[in-house]
Amino acid sequence: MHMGDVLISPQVGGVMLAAAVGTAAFSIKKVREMDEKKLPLMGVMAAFVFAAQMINFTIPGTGSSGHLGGGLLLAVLLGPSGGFLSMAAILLIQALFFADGGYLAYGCNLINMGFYACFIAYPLIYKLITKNKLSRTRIVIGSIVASAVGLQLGAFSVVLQTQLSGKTELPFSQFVWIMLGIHLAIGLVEGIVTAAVVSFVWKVRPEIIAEDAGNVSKKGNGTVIAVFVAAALALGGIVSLFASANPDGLEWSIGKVTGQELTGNSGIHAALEKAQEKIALLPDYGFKSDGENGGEAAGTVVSGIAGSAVTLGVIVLIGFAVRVFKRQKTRPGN
Amino acid sequence: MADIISSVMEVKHIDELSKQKNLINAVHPLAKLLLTLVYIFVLASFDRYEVAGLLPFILYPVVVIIICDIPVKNIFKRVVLLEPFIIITGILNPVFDKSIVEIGGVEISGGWLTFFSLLLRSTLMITAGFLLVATTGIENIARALTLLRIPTVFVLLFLLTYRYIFVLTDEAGRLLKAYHMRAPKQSGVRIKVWGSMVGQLLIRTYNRAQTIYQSMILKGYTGRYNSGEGSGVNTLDIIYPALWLLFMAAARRFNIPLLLSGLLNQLV
Repeated sequence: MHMGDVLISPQVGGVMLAAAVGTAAFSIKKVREMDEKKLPLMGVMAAFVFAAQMINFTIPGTGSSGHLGGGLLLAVLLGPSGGFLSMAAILLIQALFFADGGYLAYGCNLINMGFYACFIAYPLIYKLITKNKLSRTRIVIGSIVASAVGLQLGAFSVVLQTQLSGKTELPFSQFVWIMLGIHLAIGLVEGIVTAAVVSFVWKVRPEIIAEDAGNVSKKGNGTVIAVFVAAALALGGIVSLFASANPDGLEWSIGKVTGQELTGNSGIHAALEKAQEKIALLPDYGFKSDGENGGEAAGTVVSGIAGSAVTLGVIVLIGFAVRVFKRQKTRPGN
Repeated sequence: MADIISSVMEVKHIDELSKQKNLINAVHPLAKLLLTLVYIFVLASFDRYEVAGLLPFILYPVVVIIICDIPVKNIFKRVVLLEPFIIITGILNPVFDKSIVEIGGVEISGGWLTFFSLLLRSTLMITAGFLLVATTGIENIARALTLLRIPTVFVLLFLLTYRYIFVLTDEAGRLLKAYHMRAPKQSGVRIKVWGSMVGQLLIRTYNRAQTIYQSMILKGYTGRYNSGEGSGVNTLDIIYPALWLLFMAAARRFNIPLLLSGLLNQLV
């Protein structure tokens, strides 16, 4: 479910990052209020989830395999705030060192994979089912339902963010159904693995699971959720504001882009196109719009190819120059 | 699975590259972090049909790789590993976007243009990310995060997680090896042992966390993060990012390949 930077526009990335940072700030406050012993536990558990992700589980009857995502498991072990922060650390390391998920998309990824699992699925579903009495059946049902719902929300949010960014051509309805379908299967496997692990630990070392259960139920989850629902609504408002009023404020695009297909069917695309035409300084790729300016385009545009070749040539030359300069500089030292 | 372990260990190698002495490694970590973010941000801000305008941005990774002696093979291997995911998300673009674009007399569909743009952009963005790590290193990235006023709790969590990823990956690897030696013909782990296998690892991890906490206390842990080096800002820290920012601003404002094309046309 990790989103890369290419699929995200700066606006969507920025808004989601702000939302993620807000949630993280809240979580940090909560964690500080808790026992500070939790910090090493959080770090090591995050590393544990990272390592556990490499274990492939054979899914009975299908011949395929899946692995753990870990959002819900972290929430069960560390509580919503601790789980969310651990997820934030995992995602940051994955983005930095494994290029799994981008920098610009970091906020999106943290909301999609951390927020829904820790602040929605865990308190509203898992906790609700296991609140009164902890039993194996309740753990299993709670884990499976919570994982599935958490992943569905995450997957839906991926589709929304991608569409709002407008970087791919995937049609909304098809994209939604594919994503939700795939993530329903993934969510069920995730739920079963989480259930198996939690019930095993509960059987062998019940205090690890029960300790947190007591810890969390004391805190008013209602207010937390209310705050986040409000935040989500505000966020939706901000995104739609951005989308309609200022389609792509950073697009000081130089290329002149015209053509029917580009216009799309929404006001966003039309506005974007207009803005681009206004600022266009140089002729870019010649778009053929139904023969109107097709002939002229073919004649005049040797469209950028020669220039691109020269650009690459210059880069290679600079590379060589830097290398020569560097060798000369290091030689006297040796 | 062996692949995952080796790729985790390779990451450690990339991190260690930052310990070499050279011009860029000496630049303040915060400058490099912000520069990388700006680079990605600027690339993301391009129109999705843009290809030529992206080309000048190749200069950044080329220069960094040469100055820092970064083994291109390592970075390239990691980038190529991630390409399939990008290709999957972009491969349908030519199917859905049928607008016709003419480039040098050849007609191609606009979808292919967006596809190439996506591919080029993602390659540059991913490379820039790896180069940040290879020239800065985890400790210094943590220092930059502290300077950005990211709370100590999170910075410590980040460092702890990174530290223990290698330990626990190793442990999970051994666990899996033991399992597969006793069940040689299985490709994955059977459902019967899902809980006990990961659960065992979890309990061991839990115990380890308690030991770690105790030793942290014994070594004087007070909840603060001391990065040690507190080097100030020098001229290089200003000039290096400033030059790149100027270059990026120019390359964003003017489509350099097209300008060059115009120039060539006039000459011819």
